[in-house]
Amino acid sequence: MMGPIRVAVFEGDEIFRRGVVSCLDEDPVLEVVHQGAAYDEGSIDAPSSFDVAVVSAAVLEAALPTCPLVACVSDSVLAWAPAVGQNVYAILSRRTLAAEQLVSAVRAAAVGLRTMDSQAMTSDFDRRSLQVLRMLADGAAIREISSSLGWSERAIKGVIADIQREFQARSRTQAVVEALRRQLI
Amino acid sequence: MVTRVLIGEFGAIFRAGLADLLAEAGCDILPAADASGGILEQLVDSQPDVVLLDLDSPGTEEVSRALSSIFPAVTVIACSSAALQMRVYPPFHGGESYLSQLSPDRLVRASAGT
Repeated sequence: MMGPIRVAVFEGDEIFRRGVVSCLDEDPVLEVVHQGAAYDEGSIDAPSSFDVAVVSAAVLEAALPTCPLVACVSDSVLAWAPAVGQNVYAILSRRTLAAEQLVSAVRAAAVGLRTMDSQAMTSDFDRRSLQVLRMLADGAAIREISSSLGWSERAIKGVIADIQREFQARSRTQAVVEALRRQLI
Repeated sequence: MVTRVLIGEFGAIFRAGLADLLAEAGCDILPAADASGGILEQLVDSQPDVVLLDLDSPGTEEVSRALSSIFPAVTVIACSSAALQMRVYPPFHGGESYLSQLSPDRLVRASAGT
């Protein structure tokens, strides 16, 4: 018989945070003991006061609690999932995540199991981004990528803008270098 | 008078957050969308004061404008969880709308019509 699992929720979007908390509260084993917009070590009594933390992508980039983490991220972040830290036990899509999936992922993390969303890992977004990145790395121009993949130049530019934002890259070249460094292409 | 809110299709977690927020603000959340019937059917059935739609799915602005014209007394609010924005179609404005930042306070105020 498993005792209560103490969960902290760190999420900047208050509406999404409310959703997370209300879904977790439905489960008899999970107990939300702390919630806030961001993780701030100083504001929490003891780091060991919770067993699992549910966090957003923004929290992932800042200081992290050392307990198992379940991250709810946008689909564009999902594509770079392998780059995240050791104690991230699940990376879930904010868009498609179901309440039962969130609860299961948190319960799994508490007992040391990692969870993967089989659908999200093969989303159209990562395939498309990786195709574009590969072609950019080969020196292709936007027009060439557009005609080769059959999408508008505007769509290609949008994909590249998403990638640059994701990598915090100032140029396409930097984005390609970052993708190579992360061994994505 | 209690504000009756119909919530359209959203990501499940964001939807739960919207429901939690508006219920706490004293709104009556109408039963969840039946996937078989479209939003139009649900609007006719449940006669809400406010309907929330997902601004992130394609075509929502056109649908919102149309609903706002067909049901002039209903406040239509299209929310984007990705951009944290909302497009509000106030009642009796013939489908006119304004764009606003999406925050819990603003959403509650827009739903209450204040």
